[in-house]
Amino acid sequence: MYFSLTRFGFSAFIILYLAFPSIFCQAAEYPSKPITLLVGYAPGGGTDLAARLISGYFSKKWGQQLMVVNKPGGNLVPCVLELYKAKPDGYTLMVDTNGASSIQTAIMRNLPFKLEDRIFLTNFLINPTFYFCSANKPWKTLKEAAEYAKKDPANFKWAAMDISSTTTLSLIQFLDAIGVDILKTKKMDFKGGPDVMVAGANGEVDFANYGIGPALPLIESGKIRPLALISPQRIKRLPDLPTVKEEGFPGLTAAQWCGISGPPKLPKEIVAKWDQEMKKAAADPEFTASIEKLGMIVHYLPSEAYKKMVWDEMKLFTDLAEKIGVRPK
Amino acid sequence: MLEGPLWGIWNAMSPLNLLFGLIGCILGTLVGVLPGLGPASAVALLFPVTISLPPVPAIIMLGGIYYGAMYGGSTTSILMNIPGESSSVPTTFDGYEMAKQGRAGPALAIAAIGSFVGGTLAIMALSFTGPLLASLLFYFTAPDYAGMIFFSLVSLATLSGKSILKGILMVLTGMLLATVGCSLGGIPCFTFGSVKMMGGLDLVSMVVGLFGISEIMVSLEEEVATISRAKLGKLMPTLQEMRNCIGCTLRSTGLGFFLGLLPGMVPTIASFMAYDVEKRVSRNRANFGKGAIEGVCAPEVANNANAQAGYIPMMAFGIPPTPTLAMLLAALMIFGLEPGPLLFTKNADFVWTIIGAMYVGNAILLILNLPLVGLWARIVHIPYKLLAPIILGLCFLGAYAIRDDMFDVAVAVLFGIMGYMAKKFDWPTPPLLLGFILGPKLEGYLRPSLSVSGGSMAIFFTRPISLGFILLTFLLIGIRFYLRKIEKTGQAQV
Repeated sequence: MYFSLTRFGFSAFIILYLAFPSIFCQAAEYPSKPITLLVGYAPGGGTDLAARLISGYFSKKWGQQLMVVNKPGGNLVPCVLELYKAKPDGYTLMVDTNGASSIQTAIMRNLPFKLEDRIFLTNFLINPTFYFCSANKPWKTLKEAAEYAKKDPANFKWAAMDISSTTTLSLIQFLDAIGVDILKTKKMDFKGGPDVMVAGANGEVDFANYGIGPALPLIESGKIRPLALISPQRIKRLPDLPTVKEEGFPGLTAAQWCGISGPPKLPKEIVAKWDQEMKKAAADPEFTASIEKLGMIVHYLPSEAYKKMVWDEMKLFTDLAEKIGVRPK
Repeated sequence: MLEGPLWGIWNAMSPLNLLFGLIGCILGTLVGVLPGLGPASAVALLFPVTISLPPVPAIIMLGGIYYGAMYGGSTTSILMNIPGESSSVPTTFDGYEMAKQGRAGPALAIAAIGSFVGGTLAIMALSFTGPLLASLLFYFTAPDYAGMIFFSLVSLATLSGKSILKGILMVLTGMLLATVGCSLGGIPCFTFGSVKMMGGLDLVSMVVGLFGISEIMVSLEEEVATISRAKLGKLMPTLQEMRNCIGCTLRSTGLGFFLGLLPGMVPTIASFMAYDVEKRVSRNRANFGKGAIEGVCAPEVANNANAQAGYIPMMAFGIPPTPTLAMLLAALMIFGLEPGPLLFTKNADFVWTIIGAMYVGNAILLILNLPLVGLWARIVHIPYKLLAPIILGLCFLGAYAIRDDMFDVAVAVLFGIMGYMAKKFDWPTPPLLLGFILGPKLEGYLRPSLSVSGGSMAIFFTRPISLGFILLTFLLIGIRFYLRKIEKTGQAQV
């Protein structure tokens, strides 16, 4: 009988590896196993697509799979709760949005978690929405639309979606900014994006707000007239469309964003890793091009700035919600 | 030099495009056959893979999954009374009856042929009218949709049961179940304080529970599923049967195609409507529910025509009528192929190739499905004690995959028990599904209509389209009562 050291060593390694995988894993750099990215929306929407782009990009870069797991419904509460319950090891993260953070906290009561416990890793994009109306409406600019709303608020029909969406909040913000009593206007609640786009295009509503990416074909076909973009900067695809600030409404800041958030007590090293990597990605033309094709803008914010933005927004939305009576004081 | 559609077909037959078309069709058929796994989740799963492919094969493959699933959905409906997709629920009504009579072969064959004809006719309409028809959807406003859905609900409530009252009660229960979750205003409804319940109940857990798990329970109770004892019989429908299906095919194509142009009118609604129409107008209507071949043909034709028509608003205006098409739209945008009227002029080559690929895909699916008829039909000879756990496992998997949560599996089991009780006490389950699908849609159009009218119902009677649908609804109810009266007096005389 003969003894082979290589064979013995190899078998010993396999047995040890199978018995105590953590010995070998801990030494390895993060990520050393697949990462779950929670998304609070159904497949196919803007946030889901952004998550899938992130997943594709970092899976290739890190050699570890980032799995997108959709947890739609319930005003994003079930999805966020899932994140808070996850082990804070960096292998369960969430693609965060206004709806899952600032708006949720501002609108809903008795949430089973606290915003201040959440770890904000990095913000990476703005998914600009825009104010628009049907091409057959007489007003050509945001100011003219505002004049019309002020003149006859009782006949001003605008398309709202569910209350946790940024588009609804930004419409409320607009009406509030021009001094129109929201309760006097005609708020039409629609259930989905396609309905809002169709109602906007055929003139059923006077004023609406939706993501610019999905609406590009309707703009191109001349069915709807874009009035202003809610974003800190213009987008390459429609260089002539001004931002709200350029149109004279600097206060309208409810831009729709996506970031990466983690469960409470997530170690600093993981936050730093994501922060660094996202900064690099934001400078990568391949990555930015794939985001821009969807009508979105790469918008990198480091952890601290990201957290501050969410908190500022939360306070702003809480005031708005109290004003219109969604959330009693 | 070939032009337009012919050029597109030629281009779609290039080896690479053909290969990915074939992969898509096979995957789609598989997703369709397996209960609980739908095309939307399959497309979402493959999404990161497809965006690293060249655009044309990628879109061809995703499209193949979409319409392949419409073909595959009928297989288990016919053989086991378990629909593979919610759009194949009406196929069970007559398909399973046919299988019990040993006519599984013709049922499967007519489903494949009908799907092919319906799909192909719809693509022809698409390639000849192009983006023109898409503008139709701008004529429909919220009250019009509300009227249309009201009409569908009333006409479908009595679809499969003998008792109108039971049907209506089931529709209302379905509508009530659909309200579980969060309202538009962010207020939890019927959640009993549970965060999981806030996410609402999912259609998939309802379908696998009501139609999958309950059927397995019933079959196990009968020890041997009746179907296994049936002889295989011949595989192809007779010429006479095919001829009987011509009118049905044309009507169902038209209906499915029209509904496909409107956002939200998903294939499931189209297949139910088509079955309902045929049950009223077909010459063979007396046999509906007892194994009428037209009852298998109508829903399968309609869901394919519907799926193909959905491409029109998606490509013309970027408005996706179904969740699967929303994923396809996103893939187009990532490839820089932005939908819109310009797509048809700027990227005409691309558009024609995709349309060509639809023709080719439908042909592939027919070639794939017809020889499979014999194979599928033999599945029923597998002992049920082996087959049942496999199907049950797939049902659980489908429910779990909705959002990676055991909650949905538990919901599916509860729906299974509910479906079992319903079968025992002779309550119809399809109306429950319809209420669940159409209820939120009705709410979604009723709310904006009433907020614009200030709460007045008059808005539904002042617009031609919605008024038309409401008149149609009352006409339908009137006809039903009239027919009943005739029936009763007729019986009295005898």
